Order: sequence, then C-alpha cells, then structure tokens
Amino acid sequence: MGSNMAENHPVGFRWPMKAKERGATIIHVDPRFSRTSAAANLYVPIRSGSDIAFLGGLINYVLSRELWFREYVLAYTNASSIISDDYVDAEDNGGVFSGYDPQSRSYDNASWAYAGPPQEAAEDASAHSGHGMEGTSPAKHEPARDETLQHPRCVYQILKRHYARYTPDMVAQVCGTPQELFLQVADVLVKNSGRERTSAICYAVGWTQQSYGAQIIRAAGILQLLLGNMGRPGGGIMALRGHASIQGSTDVPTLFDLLPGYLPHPAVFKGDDTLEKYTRESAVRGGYWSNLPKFIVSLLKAWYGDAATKDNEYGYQWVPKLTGDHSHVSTSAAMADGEVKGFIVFGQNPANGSPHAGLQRIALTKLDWLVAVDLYETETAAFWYGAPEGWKPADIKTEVFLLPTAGPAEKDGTFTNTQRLLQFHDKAIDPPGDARSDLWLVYQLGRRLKDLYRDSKRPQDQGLLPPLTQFVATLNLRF
Amino acid sequence: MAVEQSGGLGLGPVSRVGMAPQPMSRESIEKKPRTRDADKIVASVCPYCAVGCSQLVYVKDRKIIDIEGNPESPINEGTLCPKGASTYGYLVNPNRLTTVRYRAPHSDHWEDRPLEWALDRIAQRIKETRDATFIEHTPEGKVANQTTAIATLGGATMDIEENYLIKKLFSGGLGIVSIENQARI
Repeated sequence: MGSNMAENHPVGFRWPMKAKERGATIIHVDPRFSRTSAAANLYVPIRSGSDIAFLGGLINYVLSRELWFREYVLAYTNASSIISDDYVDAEDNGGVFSGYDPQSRSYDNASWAYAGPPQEAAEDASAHSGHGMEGTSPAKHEPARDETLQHPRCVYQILKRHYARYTPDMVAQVCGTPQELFLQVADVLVKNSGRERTSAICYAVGWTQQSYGAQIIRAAGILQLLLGNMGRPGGGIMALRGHASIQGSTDVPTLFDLLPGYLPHPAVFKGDDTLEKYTRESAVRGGYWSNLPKFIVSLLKAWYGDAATKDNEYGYQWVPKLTGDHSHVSTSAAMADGEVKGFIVFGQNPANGSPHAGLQRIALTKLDWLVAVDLYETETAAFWYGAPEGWKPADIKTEVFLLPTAGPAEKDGTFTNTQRLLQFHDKAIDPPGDARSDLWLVYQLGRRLKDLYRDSKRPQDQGLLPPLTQFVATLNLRF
Repeated sequence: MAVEQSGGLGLGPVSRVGMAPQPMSRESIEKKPRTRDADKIVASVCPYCAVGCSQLVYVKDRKIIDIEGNPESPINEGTLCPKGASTYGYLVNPNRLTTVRYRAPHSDHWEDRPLEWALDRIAQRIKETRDATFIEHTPEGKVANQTTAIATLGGATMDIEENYLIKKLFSGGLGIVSIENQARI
C-alpha cells in the first residue's frame, strides 16, 4: 500500500515476484494503477487518504468474524490487558477520544493507560515518546488481564467496539473500493494467517507523507498483530525507504528529538534538567527499555570519554535540552522569521526538495551564513542568484560556502538499508580536487572549534573539549 | 572463450566454443570489456534507494573506469536498476565541484577559495553565532544549555559514521538542537 515498488525499488521487487512464482498472492492497494499494480495478482483501487478506513475495515472483518489468530494474540499482544476507567472512546465522546484539549488540538493520553494505581497511570502517560519508544511504552506496573477477553475494558473489547463501524459498506463508501474486491483482500489475508502462514505489508511515502502517516502504520500494526504476522518469518510491516541510509540516519540519528539508539532527547518541557530526572522519567519496568539508565550513561561516556564522570552526571548537562519542536519544517519557519542565523546543509537541497520550497528559499535569505556541502552545485547553494523569484544578489546578505564532497565510492563507511541490513562500502579512490568526505569536513570543523574554545572556562564550552578526535581515529576509516 | 589462428586453412581467426571452430572477426577478438584491465575491484553499495544493492567499482590508474552490480550480493545478485547503473555518471562527471566556492554577502559571483581558509572561516562563524545566542536557562529559569540559532540538515546518502559525528559535534559538543535529516522529510 502507498508504494510503487516495481518502479521505485525494482531490484527489491524481484523477490515479491519470485514469491509470486511460488504461489504467493501479491495485492497492490493504491489510488494509481502503476507497474506494481500490473505485476500484482490483485489491484485494489483506493481513494487517496482513505488508508485508515481500508485497514480499519480489515481489522473489523477479522474481529467481528472471529478470524484472528487466537493463540498468537493471547500470547504476544496486550489484547487481554485492562484499560483505565477514565478512557472514553471517540464513539461515546462526540468524535474525539478522552483527554482532548481543543485549545492545543492535542491529546493528553493519561486516561488511555492500563488500569492500575492512578498516580502510576499518569506517570506512564507522561513518559517519553521518541520514535522508538512510542508504541513500545511498557507499563510501569503489571496491567490487570482478562485472558477470557470478556472484560468490557480489555484492549480486545475496546478494539472490537471501536472498529465495529468499519463495515465493508463503509469501506466501499469511504475508499471507493468495490466491496467484492475489499472482501477478496480480507479473505486472502485471513487464509494466510495461522501457524503455517504469514503475510507482510509493505508501504512507502504514500503512507508516510500523509500528515497522520504514523496512525496509518499503527492501524497496520493492529491488523498484523491480530493475524499473527509480527515477529514471524515472512510477516511484518516493511517500510520501503527511499534513500541508501534513511534507516541509518534514523537509528544514529540526525533527528532533533532523539539521541543515538532511540533514546529520547532531553527536553526542558519534560522536566529533564538532571540526569536523574531524565532516567526516572524515561525508565520503565521490564523489557528492553528498562535498561535505559545504562544506555544513556554508555552514550555519554562514548561522547565525552574520561570527562564523563559520576560527579558531573557523565556530562549530561552538555547535552542541549529541547525547548520545542526543532524539526526541519518548524526550523525553516523560524529561519524565515530571522531567528536562525547559521545553517549547515550536507547533501541535501531544501530550496528544491523540502515542503514549501518557496518558504525555504525566503528562509535562506534571512541567514547570516549558509554552508552547503555537496557533489554538485544545488539550488540551495545557488539561491542567491538562481532562485525563480529573481532576487538581486546585492539585496541578499547571506554569506555562502559551498564545499565539494566525496561520493560513496570515495570513502569508507556504512549504510543501513531498508531491511535493516548494515553494509560497509569501501573507498575505491580519492575524491577529486579539494572534495572531502562529510566525515573529514565535520572532523576538521570539530578540531578547529576545539582550538577556538581551548581557553574557555565557561561550563557550556567544556563538552567540546573531550575526545572528538578519538571517535574518528578508533573507527580506522579511510575518509 | 579460447581463440586461436586457424593455421593453414585460410579461415582467419576462429573461436573454440562448442564442438567445432567458429569463424570470428579480428575486431571481435580484439574487443574486451574495459573492466578486464582494472587494477583493483572494490565493493561498494548503491547510493540511491534503500534496497542496498552491492556494487563493484573497477579502478584503473586511480580512476573509476566502471561500476557494475556485484554478483556475490544476495540482495541484487549482480543486477542494478537503471538508476543504480548510472552511479558511474554520478561520481565521474565533469560538473562535479572540485574547489570551495565562496559567495560574500551581497556579492553577485562565486569565488574559489582554499579549503583550509573556508574551514577556518566556517568554524569562526559557528563560534560567533553560538556565543551570541547560547542560552543556559529558559526565561523561566529551567536548564536549557542550547542554541536554536544554528541548524543542520543532512541527506540520507550519508554514512552512519558521518551522522554519528554530526550529532556528537553539533549536539553533544556545541548544544545545537535543530539537527535534522532527510529521514524526517
């Protein structure tokens, strides 16, 4: 769904085709009939933006007809867990779930927690929700369960009530999909659910570039769990990433709200002013994330080396605290308002490729300085003379540096591909002329900044002094 | 393919494919793939989509002479799509930048500048902006230790190591919060 895999990931698409030769059924649900549709067993048209209704219809189909994989669901999902008394479904609350604040147009999800001591329930809900933690957020206390799934507030019953409205009729109306086609999809998925069978769902930017893309993926998560398709061979939900290491840059990450390894980024508004508060806020009992206090100290030691000691909270105060949404789109708006003075762009071209490219170009004119690092001159680097707006260079104050960089065969390094396989690429030749890898450039900037701050006694400058150089040296890369 | 002269039979060159000698033109015999003379063959990964096809980079005299799919990869088994097959043209291209280009404020042209000069100047600019905008506390007195006046944005064809170092230097070292990537976009 939401992908044209045959054309956009053609070499990857060989494998679904091989599976088809061996009897697998390929279903393509998409508003547009593409080459992927042509190669599929079943093309299912859908109205743009109606993915949740389609998936909701499938969820209702398996729930209402008792076609879900009972052993799997009882053993591996929270279907039997009982939710707090305070939770009210949208159906009984005028179309919104409990905890909605019309002013901020957002939810306080405290009432959605598992039933239990109220204080702890509230703490659960305020726990961090980074990319990786969202959805896992294990409870701090063992939730009450009803293995018979009869309790009216167990997850199973709530789901069943919530999804009851997604009838095949409703799906046909909302999605514009012929009902018999929808039922055919449901039938294929159900027939491939069980001990011996699985199905995978693949998606791409047709889902993620909708403003509620994460909710579509969650709906797919519910469906795949009900069918027993998660964590089993041939199952799962596959993001078909569009770039060589989108996955790697998400894991490491260069995203504002996360630290490496999906640790939530400390934030002023989450009350993370000390390491102790940060770990208390984020810690959970049981499961992988109960190790978060160790993870964060390991990261701080990796970053600050010997300068990270117990006495200085392992350097925690050198990690900046978020004061809001610092994502690319919000930052671009702040840049257009003149609040951002300096901007460094590595192999990226916001003046051409980001949402609202016109605003991006205006934002660049408000900068004091711009550093663009690329193999070629981009629209971003050339905005001061090449913008379609036709600005006069004399009116633009921005100081622009365009640094030539290396391509993948010109440096050692790793990519994480769409299936989370980490692959090394070797350096074949030196980059041309003054071109250098991004790693070399960042390392050299770091060295110079360390020199500039060497005599500083201010506490905020000390985080820079520990061994930045060590990191690159120990990798033993040719960059 | 074994090629030999046909001796006194007057058939010209022949090849020994199959049961009988096949006639073959001199041009065919002299033709050979340019990859055959490579000094070394280096394994790489396609820089385009995230399927992760493995590539073989053929190098001669410290220049890339060809890039092909790697038959040893279980992902692509030697194949590449048209985009991946164009990686050679992406790397070996007369339009690539080879010098630092600098545009002074209000200027109407690029100037070439030495790399060292540019790095010194950029480091200086980062320091000036950071020092002028760094906040230790919010107006409410909460610990912040950050600046929102500098931002970085990276593409997703950068290496994991590069992303790690960017986050480490700009976030952990300098207190910059808006560190973003194509992965968000």
